[in-house]
Amino acid sequence: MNKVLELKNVSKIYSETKNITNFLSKNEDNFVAVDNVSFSLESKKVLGLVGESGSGKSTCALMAMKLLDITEGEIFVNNNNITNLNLQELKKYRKEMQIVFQDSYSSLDPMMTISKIIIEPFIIHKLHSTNERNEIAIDLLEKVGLNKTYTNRYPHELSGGERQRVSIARALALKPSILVADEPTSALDVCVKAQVINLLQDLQDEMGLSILFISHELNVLRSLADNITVMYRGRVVEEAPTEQIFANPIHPYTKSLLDAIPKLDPSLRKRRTFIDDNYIQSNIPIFNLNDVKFVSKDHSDIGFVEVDNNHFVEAKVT
Amino acid sequence: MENQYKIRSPFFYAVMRLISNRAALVSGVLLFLIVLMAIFAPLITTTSYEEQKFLMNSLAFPSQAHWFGIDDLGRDLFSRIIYGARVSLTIGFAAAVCSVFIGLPLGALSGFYGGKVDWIIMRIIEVFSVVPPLIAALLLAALVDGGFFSIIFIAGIFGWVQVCLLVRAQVMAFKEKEFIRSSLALGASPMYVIFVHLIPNSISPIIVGFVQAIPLAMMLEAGLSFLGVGIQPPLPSWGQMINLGINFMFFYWHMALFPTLALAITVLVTTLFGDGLRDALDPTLKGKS
Repeated sequence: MNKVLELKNVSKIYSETKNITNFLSKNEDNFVAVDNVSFSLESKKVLGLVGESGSGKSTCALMAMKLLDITEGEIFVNNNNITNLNLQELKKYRKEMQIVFQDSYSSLDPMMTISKIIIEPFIIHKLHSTNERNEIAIDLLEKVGLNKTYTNRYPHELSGGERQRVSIARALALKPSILVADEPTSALDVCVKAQVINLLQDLQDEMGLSILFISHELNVLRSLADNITVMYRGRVVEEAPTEQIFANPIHPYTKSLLDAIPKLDPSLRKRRTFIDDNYIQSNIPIFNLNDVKFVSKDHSDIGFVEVDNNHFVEAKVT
Repeated sequence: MENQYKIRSPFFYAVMRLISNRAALVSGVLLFLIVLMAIFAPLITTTSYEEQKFLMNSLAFPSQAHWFGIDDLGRDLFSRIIYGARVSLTIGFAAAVCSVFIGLPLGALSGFYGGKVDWIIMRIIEVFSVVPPLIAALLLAALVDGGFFSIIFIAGIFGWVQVCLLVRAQVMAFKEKEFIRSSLALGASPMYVIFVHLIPNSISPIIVGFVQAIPLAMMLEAGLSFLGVGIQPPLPSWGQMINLGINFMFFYWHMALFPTLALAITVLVTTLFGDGLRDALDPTLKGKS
């Protein structure tokens, strides 16, 4: 399969070197936000990235977009290494990949009208004439289910769902092949959420997008994603095709995520139990080296193993 | 339905918001009148500001012939206040423009880049805030020989600190917002982001800083004029006249009252108009008030 976006052994470490007056003292406080993460997005597929708050999902997305500096590792777009490119060299790859954020209100400039927001990509890349830009802006608005009456409005005059549609229209203006959706539906109510997901699905079919869809809701991903990658504390703990994850979760954290999905059947309702880090650490699956295909190993006894076809999990290997 | 939706420019709404704000409208008209009076001073006044025509009646109280009375040297106070508006307004506005020109780019750079750039600019600001402006201004004024332009320059280099800090705070608050990240993700350069997104979004602190810089410059001019290194008499300025009036305050109240009123009204009107302008330029307030 053709990989359009690939993260290879990417880490993000925040170190506390506060300011110039502190540079003499050597006590650095390191926080590892993302620890040696690798995953790849295949062409015209949807990869779901799931994990709890603070598990490093969004950090991964920002690093993939080169909006955050990468401490270690490499990022490939269409098999080109973009890790060390400067802003100028990066500009042509910017057309290829775009991002939609969770907070639709702060992702639109409050001082700009909707049409200005949507034609911003063309201004930055110096494409088309002014008239063409406005026509394309209206086309884009219609594509995301809005119409031209929106062009002269301001972001605060729109509802959350409408704003998110505008964000999507802007992200798609340059006809990218990769879309990173960083929890685009988390702030929306159920109905609007479904509409936005349908919209993304339609656009994916129409434009041949590859989508990295970040979410903490597994039921949203179930309807959308082809593959799911589960992150926990900055590490990828499980990776498999969507149905495989739902049918046969192996890692204790994945199991607890699935357990957290509300049940429709009243007789199955129960008070949820939450598992803590200790439980997860002590229940890491153990495999015998003979049963599984060994993929990679970085700590002493914990590695990433392939337990089934395309089903990877972080496990102890004996 | 679609055809009924009338497309109006954002500027139209800004003007509408300004007009619908009564305080801003009134103060805007007053400010305009004050500026007109300053420009057409020779047409309004009967005597020049330096003519000592009324020495016989010096220190006379306000009357029909001399609305604001006569000062200790026999000059018509009304003429002097009108002419003084020229000096005070020019210095106030020019110094505020200077402050914004220095403070805005430095504040935006400092807020956007952070780190070393921020550190250096903050240390410069600390130097400016530790030194008492009047003493430094006195020294500078003595070095460059006082006068009109050096007062503007001095007020400018002390006024930019406020503008810089206000803009820096706003830029720091906005640069982590997603629309900045979206813009960067689209391939925008840092300069594009600063000029197209961050500075327009800092419009309210810029106006606040501008409006604050005006009275500061006027007061600095008054102080310097009083100490003899500012505007040289007989050219009148309000600060100079207030300081002179204080000497006569207990017996001849009009000498201190009218220049003070002139300064206070101008500052108040500028502030109110600045507030109105700030609200009018913020589209998120559309439809309110």
